[in-house]
Amino acid sequence: MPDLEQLLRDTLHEYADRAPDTQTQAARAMRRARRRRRRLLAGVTLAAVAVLVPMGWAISPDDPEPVRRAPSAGELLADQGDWRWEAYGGVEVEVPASWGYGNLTQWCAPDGWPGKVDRPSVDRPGAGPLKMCSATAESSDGLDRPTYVAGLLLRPRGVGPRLGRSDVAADAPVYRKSVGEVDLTVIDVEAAVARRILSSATVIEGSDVSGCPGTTPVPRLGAYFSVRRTGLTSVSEVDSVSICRYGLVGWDRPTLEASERLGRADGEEMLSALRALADSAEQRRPGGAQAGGSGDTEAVQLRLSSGGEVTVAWVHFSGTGPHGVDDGVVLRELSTDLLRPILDPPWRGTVEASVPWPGA
Amino acid sequence: MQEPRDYEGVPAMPEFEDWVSARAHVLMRFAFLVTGNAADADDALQEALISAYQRWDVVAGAVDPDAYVRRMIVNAHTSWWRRFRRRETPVDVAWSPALAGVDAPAEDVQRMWGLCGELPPRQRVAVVLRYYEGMQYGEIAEILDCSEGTVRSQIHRALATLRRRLDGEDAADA
Repeated sequence: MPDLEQLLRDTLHEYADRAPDTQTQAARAMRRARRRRRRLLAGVTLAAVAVLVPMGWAISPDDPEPVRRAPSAGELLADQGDWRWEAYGGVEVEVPASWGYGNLTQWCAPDGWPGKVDRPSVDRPGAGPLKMCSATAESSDGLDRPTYVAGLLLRPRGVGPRLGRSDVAADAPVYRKSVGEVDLTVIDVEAAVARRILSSATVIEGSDVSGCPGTTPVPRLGAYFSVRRTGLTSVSEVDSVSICRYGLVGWDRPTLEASERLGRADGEEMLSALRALADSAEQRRPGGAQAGGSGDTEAVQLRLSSGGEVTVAWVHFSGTGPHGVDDGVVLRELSTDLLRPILDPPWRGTVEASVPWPGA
Repeated sequence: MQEPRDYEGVPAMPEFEDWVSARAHVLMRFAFLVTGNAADADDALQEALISAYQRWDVVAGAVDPDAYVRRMIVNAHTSWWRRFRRRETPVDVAWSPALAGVDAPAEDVQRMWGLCGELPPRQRVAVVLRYYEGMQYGEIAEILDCSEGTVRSQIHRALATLRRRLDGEDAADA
């Protein structure tokens, strides 16, 4: 018998030549990824539209052309009203509170839908609303309108935004700055606003303004054990809930990629949504749930504050690993209600209905 | 149409489709060796590519995309195995007539391939990474998300199992 290890090498090389054809892998993967997101977001869409339309975020074909003039820097900053903090890559940065969340500016709506969201937003990698069509969208008036990017793009340092000719208007100014492990790019925004955004960017020391640690160990689904041993069932009411989303790919350690703090009212709704989740029968404790989850690319920590105490639950929703909600005592199944604020903040209560996605 | 803009020397990143075109055949070979059959290999690679596509900005720019996809293939395969395969009864894996048109490999190679198919999934992955990809223990440990010592142990046990079964078959033949 030849050397075992050499026979092993020969065998593996011999059979590797018999692997199947790969010609359509990319197209199939892209198609399936889009389909999955459509299904996931079908329930999200109605709620998002219901929020956006009353707030005047959507434009209709009848909207008049805006009158352009050159406002002063003071006027520009005053026009932005309140500002809010966003976190990404262990860095927090201030943006106008009126800006959109996720990559909503990249949405381009099919005929009969409200149209693209004409507002800068904060764009970051990771799961989020899908760019629903290519460079142009046909609106109900039959005109093709480009969907230009505007707002703040957050990327790991050195990665940079991947922008093509159809993504950015020809005369759009671009401002860049690197802070910590993050590259910040502000596109198509007035200089005074861009300057305030970029000068506000700082590395998170400890926790950010939403109460989320800049980095924290992320346990696998079923491997998290609450010290209190009571989990969510012990929480009767909440003062606030912090939603802390961590990226597990592309960083040296789990790194905060988005955060939001809910007040009492929204926090109570989140708590109700959590309690409404079904126990995950296949992964029920005790006896050791599946020690899976190594396929996670992102995970969310929910921090429920009540009377000075913080109860933690982990939401595993990404990658190929097992998915579910782990409060350290009980494993629960995921729901759309819970996924929506994770994929697309801000939290606006439960989703009342889902709608079929056009063309799906 | 506007010309592409240069954003202050931001390094160019491969487009997902270009990268898959260049690397898919290599990754499919890996998936095939890990799963042991064409259908599961295709499924595992698809799962991995979907995951990579969803985070392509990060995967392409900040980590080795090959390593990321290999890890996703392993996770997809071991996850399925954990859920479905361990209840199945192992059967002899021999040369498949479905591969007609390709010369059948030598008998000892066929036999070794069959024995590889009986290894637990993580041992099998470790063996493929070591003896097909030629990776160091540390590199394998990163993909398997475990310590280097665990990788050594997995490979040692896999080799011991293969040797024992080959010797057993030889003794039975004699």
